[in-house]
Amino acid sequence: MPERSQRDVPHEWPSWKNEIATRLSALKLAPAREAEIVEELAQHLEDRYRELRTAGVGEAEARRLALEDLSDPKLVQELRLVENRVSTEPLVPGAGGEKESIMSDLGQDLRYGLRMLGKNPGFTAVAVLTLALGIGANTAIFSVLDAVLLRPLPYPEPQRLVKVWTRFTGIGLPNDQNWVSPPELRDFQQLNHSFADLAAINTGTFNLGVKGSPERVIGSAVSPSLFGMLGAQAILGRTFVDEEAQPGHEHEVVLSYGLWQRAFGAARNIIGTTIRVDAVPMTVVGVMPAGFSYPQDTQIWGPLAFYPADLAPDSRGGHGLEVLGRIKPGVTFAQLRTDMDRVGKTMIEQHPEYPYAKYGFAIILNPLLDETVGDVKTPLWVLMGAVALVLLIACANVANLLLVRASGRQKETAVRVALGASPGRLMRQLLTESTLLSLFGGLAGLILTPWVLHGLVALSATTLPRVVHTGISGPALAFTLAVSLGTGILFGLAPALHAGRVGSYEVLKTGRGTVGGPSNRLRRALVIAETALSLVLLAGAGLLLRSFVQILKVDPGFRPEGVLTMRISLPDAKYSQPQQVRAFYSALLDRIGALPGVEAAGAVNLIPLSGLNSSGTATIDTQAVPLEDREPEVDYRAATTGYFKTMGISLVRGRYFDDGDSETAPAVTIVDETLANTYWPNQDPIGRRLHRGGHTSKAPWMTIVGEVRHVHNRTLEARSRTEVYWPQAQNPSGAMALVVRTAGNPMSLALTIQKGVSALDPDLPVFQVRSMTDVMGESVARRRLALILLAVFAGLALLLASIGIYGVSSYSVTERQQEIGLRMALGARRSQVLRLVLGQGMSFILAGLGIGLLAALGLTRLIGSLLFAVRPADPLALGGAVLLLTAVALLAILIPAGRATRVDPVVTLRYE
Amino acid sequence: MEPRLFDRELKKGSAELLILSLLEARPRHGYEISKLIEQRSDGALRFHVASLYPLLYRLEKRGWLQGRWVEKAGQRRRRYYRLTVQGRAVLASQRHGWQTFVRAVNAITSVTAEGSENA
Repeated sequence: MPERSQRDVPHEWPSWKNEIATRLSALKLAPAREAEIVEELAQHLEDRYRELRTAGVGEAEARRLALEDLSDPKLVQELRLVENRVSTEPLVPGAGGEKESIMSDLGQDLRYGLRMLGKNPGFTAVAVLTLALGIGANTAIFSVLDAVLLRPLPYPEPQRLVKVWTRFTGIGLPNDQNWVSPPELRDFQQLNHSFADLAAINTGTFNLGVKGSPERVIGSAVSPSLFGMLGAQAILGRTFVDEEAQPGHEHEVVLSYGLWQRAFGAARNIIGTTIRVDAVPMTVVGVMPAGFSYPQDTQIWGPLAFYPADLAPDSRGGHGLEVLGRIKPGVTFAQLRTDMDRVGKTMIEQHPEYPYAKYGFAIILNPLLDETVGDVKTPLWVLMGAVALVLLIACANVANLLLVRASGRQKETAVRVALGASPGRLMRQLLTESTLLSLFGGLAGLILTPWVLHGLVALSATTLPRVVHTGISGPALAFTLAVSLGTGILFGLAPALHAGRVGSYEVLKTGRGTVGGPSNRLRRALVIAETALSLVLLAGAGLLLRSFVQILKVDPGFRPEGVLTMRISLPDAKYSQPQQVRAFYSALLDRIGALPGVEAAGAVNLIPLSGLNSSGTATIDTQAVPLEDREPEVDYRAATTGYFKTMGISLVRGRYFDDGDSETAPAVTIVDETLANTYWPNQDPIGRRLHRGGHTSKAPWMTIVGEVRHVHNRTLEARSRTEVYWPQAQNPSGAMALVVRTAGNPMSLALTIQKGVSALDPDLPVFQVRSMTDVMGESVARRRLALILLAVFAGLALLLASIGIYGVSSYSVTERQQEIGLRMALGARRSQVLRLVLGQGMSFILAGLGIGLLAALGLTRLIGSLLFAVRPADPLALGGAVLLLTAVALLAILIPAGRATRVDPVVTLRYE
Repeated sequence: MEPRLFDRELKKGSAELLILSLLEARPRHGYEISKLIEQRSDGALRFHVASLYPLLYRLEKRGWLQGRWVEKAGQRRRRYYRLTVQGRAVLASQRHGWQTFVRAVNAITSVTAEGSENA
């Protein structure tokens, strides 16, 4: 309180102040503020006192009258409201003044918002449902994205885990990535300074003999250090010790939790018991915990031992090991890369006998997470982007609904403004309402999400590299909440900003808002935005569809229709002699060939497009090219005589294998057209020779007896390496895939053939029983899934956009009903009026299409890596999207316009 | 709307308008404002300390008024309130709104039963 000279102070002065200060003490104001108020009020009382005295009132009475005002409890109440910002609830939000307590405003806005939503159940239902679709789709895709891409791998310090690959670019295929051979692994281990540990994994499938019902399980031979590297411990027993990975000592296995539960009834005394794996007795030493399965889907682990032959120079080309490393603490990924580049260079120098230099050998390092999810990264982000666009369209629709409703509420708004509500306060109320709506939408979306996820997981289980649960996770919940809040603000902003500007007195005067004001402009802007967003999605879906069609048009080099395939693996322990293998397959194929409905039968070690491959170096007997070009990397296949005919792989020249190509006959081979055209362009390759391995290899020469069409072994998208086949009879392989061409539905013969197999060997499991069409389908399953999802989202976008366009069109036609009536009364024809309405409506659609087309041209680049034989600016996909959208928009505008022109003009005009 | 509360809001709204109007011509202090309201309404409207000052503070917080201590020779210092630019704008719009509102209310309340207009 400012100092004041004594002469200014009348004798009453201090007591006014005391009286006032006593009453204000309950408010606990800041001392400076309190002093100010006390002084001002004291001045007022003094003025009043003097006035009363001047009017002749006695001293005591004047004093009592002046103080009377102070005793009104309203003083303290009101001051508390103003000074302490604690508010009670005024009736209409926004009328209470904007500086009152935010929290109590919020509570009041919430109550008011709920009441408003309850008053318009139709509007609320439509808005909530629209948002639920948008938010639910977002939550579902986010759940997948989170589980697959964002969540760290379930290992300690997963960012230190790195997959190691070798690269041989010189083979001529882009980004040709290979596993590692045992000698290379040994080089890595000896030369590197950056890995704390390197573990090798050799995955395969094994016959597990349990209680007379044989089954095929996925098993991995692994370095004992793998478990420690992944921080995994057995829940029962132990994992491997280093001694168990010595040649001849590997007789122990570790079971996965799932296999232990399923095949061994979760018996706790399993440790120490003997089970038969590929007919070899093995001792169970441990059971892993439920969540552990590395490599993915592994059910049984064994120790990986390297025999001298594995490490011999000849084995350098056998790239059969998956290698996982853990970076030393303190070493960065960049340092690791530098170190391994050095290791690669050293290997090239130390092993001139192997064509490292020629093939541009390098070591590829992929962080384990990237490696695991790299393939699905782009599709998942694209889908996430797509659902975000759908949500934006849903927002535009709800914003439209809100704008229409805001027009209906202009009077209410005007009354509030007249009663003192500030624009800011009104906006806050509207935003609270829209956020409430979107929270309800989010809640409904969350209810939908598990269903959507269930469907998604069912569709994509085999194509996703990590497990996705159908429940709603914490991050997904947080995401939904954030998206709901964001959405509420986003679509509430347009109507709220609009309300802030509303010219309320016009409304009070005329009872309605100005026609064609900012509200209409906003609505049209929203239509333009919706159209543009939908076009982007339709164009994206169109491009994926075109790519898919193009892929289906690819000639795989064989005819998959009517072909049944299944795999069999003869255990070495029981079929140790080549003649046993030969005899088994020969007997089996004879038996199958004789079945009714079977047109042809054959076998091959690996069928095309199954995801499995065998390849290696071959040496061509030719002088036409320099020595280093005579050693291509080729895909090897062992095939029976019936294989080519059964698969429909056509012959270009020469002959297929026949019964004469026996183990005693001269070694023969069949090559594909790529190899023939590479080495003997425009010449006959028949009679030429090649052998397996590099030119130093002692493998016998094989004479080419046939040239066949190139088969897409690896993917439909790209040609594979050159292909070399040899007769199964001359190179018996225990693990083969049967192929059977049938007259009808191939699957109908599956059981009969399986019975034929068990008739020959009851302990032999048959696995991966599929039609060849399914195999092809599975090879493009991921692509198909992306297509289906994007198409669903584009469809949803189209639906939402058409509803939005229809809504705005109906509204603007209703607004112009009088004008339309007048025009028609003055003699305008229906078609003229229709053209007028349509012209106006379509001008916005065209603007949207223009913007959308530009956006699509920019955005479809992002999905370039998902396209096949289609440019991102594919005119057919873009044109199709434009046409479809235009047609739907035309309908959405024409329907309300047509209705308006059918109303009797007299009725319309009388309406006013 | 419930009529009782509407009444309250109405008074509150009109009180603001009264104060803003009185400050339009020149700055005044609290006591002067309360006297003027009483005089100009022939005693029909009275603003006591308990309602006047909280309202002044509220309007000041909204930025519509600005209070300032002014010392004049031979007097104790008093707090004078003047309209801000924003306050002037609010006054204009509230005045317009009020007039429209009153006209609207008059138009309705002065109507005797004419039979229902076709809606």
